Amino acid sequence: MTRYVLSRLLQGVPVLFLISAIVFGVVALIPGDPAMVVLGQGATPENLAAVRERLGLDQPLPVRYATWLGQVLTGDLGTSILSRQPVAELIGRALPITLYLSGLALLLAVAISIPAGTIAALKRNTWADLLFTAWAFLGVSVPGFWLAIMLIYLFGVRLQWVPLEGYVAPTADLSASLRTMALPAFTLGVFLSGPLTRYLRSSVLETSVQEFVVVARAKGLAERQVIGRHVLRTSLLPFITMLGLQVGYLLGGAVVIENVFALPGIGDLAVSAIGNRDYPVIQGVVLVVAAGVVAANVLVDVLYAALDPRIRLDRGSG
Amino acid sequence: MASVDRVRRGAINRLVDGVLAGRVDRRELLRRSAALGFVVPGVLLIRAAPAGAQEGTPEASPRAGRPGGTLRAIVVDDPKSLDIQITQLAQSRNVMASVYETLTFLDPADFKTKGRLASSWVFTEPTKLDMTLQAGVVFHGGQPFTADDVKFTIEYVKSPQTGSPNSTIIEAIESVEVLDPLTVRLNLKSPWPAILDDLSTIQIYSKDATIATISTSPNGTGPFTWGEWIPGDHITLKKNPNYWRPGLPYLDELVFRPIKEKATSLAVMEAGDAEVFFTPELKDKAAIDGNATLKSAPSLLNDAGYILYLNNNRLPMSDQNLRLAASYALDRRTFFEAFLSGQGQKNTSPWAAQHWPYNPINDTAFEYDLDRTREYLAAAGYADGKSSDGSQLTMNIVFPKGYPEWRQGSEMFQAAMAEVGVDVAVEELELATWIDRIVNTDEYDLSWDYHFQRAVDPAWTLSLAFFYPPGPQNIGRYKDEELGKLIQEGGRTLEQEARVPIYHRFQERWNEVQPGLIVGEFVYYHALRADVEGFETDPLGFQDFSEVWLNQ
Amino acid sequence: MAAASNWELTRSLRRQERGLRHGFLPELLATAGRWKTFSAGVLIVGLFVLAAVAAPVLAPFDPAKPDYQALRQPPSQTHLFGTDDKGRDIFSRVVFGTRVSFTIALVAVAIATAAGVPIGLIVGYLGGWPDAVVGRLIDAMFAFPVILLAIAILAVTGVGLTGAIVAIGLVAIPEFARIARAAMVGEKEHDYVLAARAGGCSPARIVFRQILPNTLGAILVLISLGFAFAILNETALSFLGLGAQPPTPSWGADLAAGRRYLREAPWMSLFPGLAIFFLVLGLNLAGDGLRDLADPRRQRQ
Repeated sequence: MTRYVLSRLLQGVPVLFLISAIVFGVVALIPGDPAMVVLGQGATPENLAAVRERLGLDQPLPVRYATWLGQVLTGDLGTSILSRQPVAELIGRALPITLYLSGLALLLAVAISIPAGTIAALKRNTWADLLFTAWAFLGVSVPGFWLAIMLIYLFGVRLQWVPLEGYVAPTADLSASLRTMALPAFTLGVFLSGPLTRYLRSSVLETSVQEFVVVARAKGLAERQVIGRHVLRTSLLPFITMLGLQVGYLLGGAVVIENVFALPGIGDLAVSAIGNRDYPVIQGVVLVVAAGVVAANVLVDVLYAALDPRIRLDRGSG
Repeated sequence: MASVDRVRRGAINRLVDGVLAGRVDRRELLRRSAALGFVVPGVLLIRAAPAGAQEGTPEASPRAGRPGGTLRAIVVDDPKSLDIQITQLAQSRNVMASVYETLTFLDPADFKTKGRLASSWVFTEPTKLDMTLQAGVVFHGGQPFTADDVKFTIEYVKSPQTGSPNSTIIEAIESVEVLDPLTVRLNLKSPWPAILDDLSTIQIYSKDATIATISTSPNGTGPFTWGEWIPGDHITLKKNPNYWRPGLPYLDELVFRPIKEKATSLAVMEAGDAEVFFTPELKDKAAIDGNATLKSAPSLLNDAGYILYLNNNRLPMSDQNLRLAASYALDRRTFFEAFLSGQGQKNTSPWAAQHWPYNPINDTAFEYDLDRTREYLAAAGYADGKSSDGSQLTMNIVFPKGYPEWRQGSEMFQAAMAEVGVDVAVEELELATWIDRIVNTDEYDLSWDYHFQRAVDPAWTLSLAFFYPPGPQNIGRYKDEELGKLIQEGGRTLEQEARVPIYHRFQERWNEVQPGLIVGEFVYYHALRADVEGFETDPLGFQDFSEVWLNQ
Repeated sequence: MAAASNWELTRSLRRQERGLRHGFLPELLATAGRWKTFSAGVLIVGLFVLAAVAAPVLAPFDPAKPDYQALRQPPSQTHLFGTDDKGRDIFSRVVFGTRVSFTIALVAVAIATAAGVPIGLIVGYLGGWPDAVVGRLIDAMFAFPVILLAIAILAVTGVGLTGAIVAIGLVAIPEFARIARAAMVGEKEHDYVLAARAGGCSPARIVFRQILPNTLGAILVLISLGFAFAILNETALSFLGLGAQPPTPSWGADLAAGRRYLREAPWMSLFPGLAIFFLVLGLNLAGDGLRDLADPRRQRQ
């Protein structure tokens, strides 16, 4: 098992190189550079040249990539061209915010989808099923940025229940922090809860017709026990695996949600770094995000292996 | 200054000839011509100390305020760089102006240049400015402030390796000599009294500063010390307990929060969660003035406006008829009424309507008139937007992200041009791309920008925008002999009465050939919570918080 | 955002391996009575298609023509959805916006299908090192949030309709390839393929004549759900100012413009967003219904 995980992680390394090279190339194709952002429209060619030289932008592209790569291999992500702060530090500040947002969203999605999915499956073709299925469809269909704006309008502007801006760290003031995160986490969580609910519903449906469940029922076990001990437990395992697959989506969704709610997370960092052509920051964010997704994928693969259907059946009937 | 000797007149003529030949930058022209005593009235006169020996004005004692409290100010974005000699972004200026100090400063209350780190000065010769520095000033890091720091800073700014855009501002300085720890001599290339104004934009660094420390832990002499910067979240400045001006600052702490969405910023102000909001949208001024808990703090200098550069390097805007066609299709009055709630007005002149060089022909010039546009299109060979061979007339209009009124104005222009058969592409660009397009690649036809210095000496106006011929920084790159001559004449002539007809003619000629489109003017402002006292909006954006206090 | 659909699609594929091997059409006809979800979705999408086709008839005003005498008017009988910051009729803009969203999504999905499906089918059939190489590439693309990649691509191509189409199409390719590959891998071990191979059929013939028809159901589901995500991605990009440029009515861009006037004129953001929501809902219902119809196991439940 350990060997399998290690080899999968090692396989992720070329993926990281590949994506960092692709992104480096793509970003270098974008017109304009950080010297222009710094100097503004009054820039003269001489000023631009001087600032470019100081920032190391006068080097050819492959040299810059090689320099960057060399740094990364020694564990140094470099410094931001614009703010001159270490990239690792910038990411270190932004990432927790994104993880906090994603974590809350995930928590919310799970809290909604487990009861919703289970009830929808067990009370199939009732109003409850219809309601939760409808919720799931609404969840996957609503554009996050629009929902965010409408929630801001309703709860921020009209009702004034929640603050409209900014980020309060949970360590600074937990209740204020949760209040500022309520709308962003809800927006992101709603979308996530849609597919999760539907997944769990069909998973429970599939499990509940399998032999071991039928056997359990035939043995005269109480329905609650059948559901709790056999059906739900069995269905939840792939459901948890499923959550691992959402990492990429969570980060993508966070880009837009962070934009709308002005949260200084990793998405915001990436978008403004692209806008400013702050190459080391772009590269650093890409590397860290990609590494996270690769790690999550490995985790998912491992879980899949561990939760092979045959193993599950054995356990169920035994 | 009333009598001008022939030598000086000869000098300015040579300068102007140098400009026309492309050897001298127009900014330098104005600086040097003013040094020679030619640019006279208006704000510049008030600001510039006369040449010769003159004692600097000691600073007035501050008004009494109540100490204590934290002031939260909303800026539009993070500073892109903490090196204030490199960046000219408003948010950087607004933050760093509390950490660093300058030798002189422009008092926003009366527009007079006064001493700050320099306690007094004297021109021992027209090209030698000896400045006495404030004694007992200490950097936040503990180093005493001396003449060496002034020398270091000026040399840092002038160094080509720094690439500071401020280097052109202090171009007049040839060298810096340290006479003693508290006296510094600036050797000028030529007589240039406005150097005192120039120095009001140069923040003094400590001589042991390096690029690394400048960019991460700024060390100044200002009323507030650098606290922490969490990009995207906040910048905290703390009260400098050892500040050299007694009793100041009043505030314990300054917190700058970047909020990109202006509507959100306004809501934050209304909720009472911030005390200052830099440059709200013009459209929201009425809402701010109508709110009892808020007030607006307009800049006293009524000198901001909007312009559209026209790319005179290529068709269609290299064709005068098409430039005029575009000008008549730009509904300037509706722009201000519909998108800026009437906060501002149409003005096709480079100067504010109340300013003396303003030519009243602009009262009615270029009123929105699509029939005129059609006529000029036809004259250019593009009747109904098509040339005789049937090809469609197209142009683009570009602007950087984050200026919604420019987007609205562009769409308004696009809709108007569509009515006369011309295709206009509206392109909202990222800042870096926008600069690339208008400075480097020239891939634009019209581009929005701000237009400043509309209420100062007209010669200064014509020198500072990236707009007027001649000069390397003229973004539209229009060349016109008569306009060039009028700029020289205006700069050479002393008496205001004699200058009026010159500038009136300049505006006539400008309107005849329309090298660019001047849209109109507005007064920019900041929003304050009603209990913020002692706040004077700085016309250059170096907002001073040392005398601000909270009346709670 | 597209990543959220991966599991749905992968999963549906696994079912179709089982459900579709006897042919797609007969199954479809046999379940004609259980089309509720599907037909609800098709009905909604159909309404939008109608709006796109008949936009000039349905829209009471020119969507691009400003009226500075009627700025930001609330919904009324004249202006069903109100007017925007330039006095344009929002209903007309929403109706015409359908065209833009459909155009971008259609072409983008076509790009993703044309490039992704053959790649997936071929490497799925070949296996071995081509499969491994393409697999790594796809992994690399997946390891990056789609929207960031699209932003970077758009920064290079320049914003606008073409750029948006290219960006959305490109970022969807890996997903399409992955699903097509999975379908192929599931299909190629079946008896009929082995039989064809033993019978001496050429690989091309096996792939396109034998296997492709059997994976068609899966690909149809993929396309309809891919379409929903293309719409969401398109409106997200337009929302960030990177999609169709003015005066083209664009839901995402109009919604973003309304954000500045949220306090005075919330309808500016409300209605374009509702349009996106209903269209995506319709596509999801149709796609999901299609999958249900294609999956006999699910119907038994």
